[in-house]
Amino acid sequence: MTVSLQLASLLRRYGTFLGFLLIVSFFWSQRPETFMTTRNWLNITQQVSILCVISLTMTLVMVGGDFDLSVGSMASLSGMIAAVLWQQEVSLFGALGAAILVGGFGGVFNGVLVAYAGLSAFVATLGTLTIFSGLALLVSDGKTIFGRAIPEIVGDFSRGGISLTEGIQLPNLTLIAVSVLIFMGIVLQNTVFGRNLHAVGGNREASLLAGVPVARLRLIAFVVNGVGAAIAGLMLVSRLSSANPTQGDGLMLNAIASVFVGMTMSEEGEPNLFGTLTGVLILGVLSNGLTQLRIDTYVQQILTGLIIIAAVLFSRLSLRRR
Amino acid sequence: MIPFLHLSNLQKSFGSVPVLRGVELTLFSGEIHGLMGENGAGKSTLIKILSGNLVADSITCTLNGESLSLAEARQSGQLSMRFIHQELNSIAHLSVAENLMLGKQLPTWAKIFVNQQKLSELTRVALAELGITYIDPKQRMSHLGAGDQMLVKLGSAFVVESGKPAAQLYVLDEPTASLMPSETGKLFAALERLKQKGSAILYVSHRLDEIFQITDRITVLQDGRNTMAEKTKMLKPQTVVEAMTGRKISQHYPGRSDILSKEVLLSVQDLRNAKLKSLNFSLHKGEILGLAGLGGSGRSEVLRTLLGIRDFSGTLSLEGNPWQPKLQNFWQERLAFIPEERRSEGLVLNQTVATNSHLPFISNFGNFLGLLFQQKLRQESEEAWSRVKVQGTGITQRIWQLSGGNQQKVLFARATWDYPKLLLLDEPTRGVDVGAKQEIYSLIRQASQEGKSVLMVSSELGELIGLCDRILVLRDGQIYHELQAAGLREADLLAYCQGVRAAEITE
Repeated sequence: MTVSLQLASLLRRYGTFLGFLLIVSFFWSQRPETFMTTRNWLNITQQVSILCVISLTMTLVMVGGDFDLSVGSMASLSGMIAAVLWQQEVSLFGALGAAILVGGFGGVFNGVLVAYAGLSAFVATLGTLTIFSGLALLVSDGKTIFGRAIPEIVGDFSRGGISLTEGIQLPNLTLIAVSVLIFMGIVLQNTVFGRNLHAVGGNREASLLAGVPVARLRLIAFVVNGVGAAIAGLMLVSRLSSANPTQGDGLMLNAIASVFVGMTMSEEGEPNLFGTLTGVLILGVLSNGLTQLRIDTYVQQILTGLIIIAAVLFSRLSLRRR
Repeated sequence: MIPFLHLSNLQKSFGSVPVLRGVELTLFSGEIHGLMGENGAGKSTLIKILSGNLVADSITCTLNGESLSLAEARQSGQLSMRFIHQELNSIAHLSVAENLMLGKQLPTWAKIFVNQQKLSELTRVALAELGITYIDPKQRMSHLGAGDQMLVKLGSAFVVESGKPAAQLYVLDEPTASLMPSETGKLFAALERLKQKGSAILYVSHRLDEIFQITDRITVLQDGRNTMAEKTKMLKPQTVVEAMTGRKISQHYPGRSDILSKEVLLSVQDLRNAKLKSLNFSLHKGEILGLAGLGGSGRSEVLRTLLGIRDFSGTLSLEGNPWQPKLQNFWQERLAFIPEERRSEGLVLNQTVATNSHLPFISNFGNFLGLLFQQKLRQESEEAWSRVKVQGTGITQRIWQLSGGNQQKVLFARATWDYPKLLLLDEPTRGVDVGAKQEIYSLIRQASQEGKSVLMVSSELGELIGLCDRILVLRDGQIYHELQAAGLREADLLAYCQGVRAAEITE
């Protein structure tokens, strides 16, 4: 490989990360006193923690060559279920368990439709997106649950954390996201399941002919993703101290966008955790920085979309092989 | 007589593998020219260069005696060609007329609205060239039988487009592969009419009988070189076959083992399914059994049935026990398979050599929690790497970076890793360079000497003869001959595959 080729391949792989650093330095220069502080960064990690969890489990599904549109409405549904159960005086953990169970079942439903019934992931999860949305509205009767109905400890959890120094703490939500990151890292890199799932995503036909249990692996990925969406939904309830039947809906697009941005950072253009994490952080830093610059959230949205397109376009332009 | 189109000194390599090494092709107007050669002889590459899908490394081209480049000739409209390929790529939910006009300028009103009436008319005229009047242009393609669909695709070559020059050269690549004899007759009649009108026709086929029936001149390629260019009436089928196969001096096959085990590993009785008609055969331990036949004869179908991905009826037994093949259990039963399509069915291209060499066995490297013993997998992959002598930078290399031959060796490493009882090989040396071929031959031979049984499909007849102990010749899903490979001549085997009667061969 010549030097220029090497440079091109480096640029392609780390271009997105470079873009992330550029965004960070831009905000740093604009808001020197407030942006590059430990407090603000911990704040950012808390802000992105919910998106992070959902994006990480979405990465798993996408490694297997599928994707899942229903995660946002699943997050809404599971949060709603927990809140409704608390309203009915069900115990704290009973409601949490039920919400996560619902996430798992939703994943089973998606997985069976896609991996066993052979529906396209797009159609199947578009359908379940609508179903979960409707269910969330049904169980809540379209109302927001807040105040006394939500146990105090739920709201306190998101405000709490592990104290690092005086006044600065590592938020609990961040800790959850980090735990999920570590868990997913082990699953994808160090387990039989993870390695086989990479193969399934890389070439389903070849995996099938090699006797890999393709359908089962895809199903499991959907289940994990359903559980991930449920956890994210619960984190959202904790963060807002309230549950609303549509509050998680926006997570789906951002999660898929994060994975796509992350895919530009791997050698082969496959979904990967480090890339997804970078994607999540780009979205988080943009939102945090632009808010500090007092830029309208509507403009934020436009910029976010442009940056996603730019990242993918850039990696595609410099991708010339095979 | 000045030839219509004359190509000479045509050279083309893919990477370091030469495919065409100085080929010459001379086409005359008003003649049907047969192009023959075994698989890999370079016929399709030649056609792709004609159509402009590939660019030759070097070429000299004259059109009606005037020298110019192929690209110029195409663009200037002096060389207008029509191509008909063997695959049936029709769009089922479009009408016959729309399929026929696919990729061509549709007749319109005011340059916007499709003129359906004109479209039907054009289609009717084109189909009439083939002597077809019973197909309604407005019918959906999916309502037609496979033969009629093929005829419609053929018809697309006879469409007269307004404002475009009429075609002077028709190139047909194995057009009869999926045609019934009566349909073939219609095609031949249409070709005869085109010939009378003064068109040049290049007709590519494996089928000797057809070539002798309709062509005026034959060019034979072998290993990217011309071995024959002669008028058909001066030739006999046998000489053409000799020119196609030749004797490949460079090919050496490792010596076969002289003692064959009497023990039967696999026995197949009355195996039938949609494409197979009552097959009976047995495979001994350590034996290499070849399946020969033309494309569509059912060779690969046998392997796929044994793999457990085809429905069938019949009795199979493995090591004396009744056996029902199931894909999920296939590799765990210590059976192994190398598919025909290496890239789409064999490899996960974006993964490492290590993953690919152990794809069916990743779960063997997990503990009870499903955690992977990475170290063990690495060691095994290193061992496999050196066992099959892969040339590359190491087991963490992505497999797409390796050459076809080295990729194939990785598949062999996979297939032989778990001490398999049986290897099913589908075209084990397709798209592999000569050096790697040699090594793969040794690997196959070595497997048989270790007592593994091999059932292999190959279109390279020399390879079957050189490697196999016995060869079954398949045609239309039936076994027509069982041959001892030792001493068999390639030309004879080809004749058996094509269904030439035994008497003509011994002549």
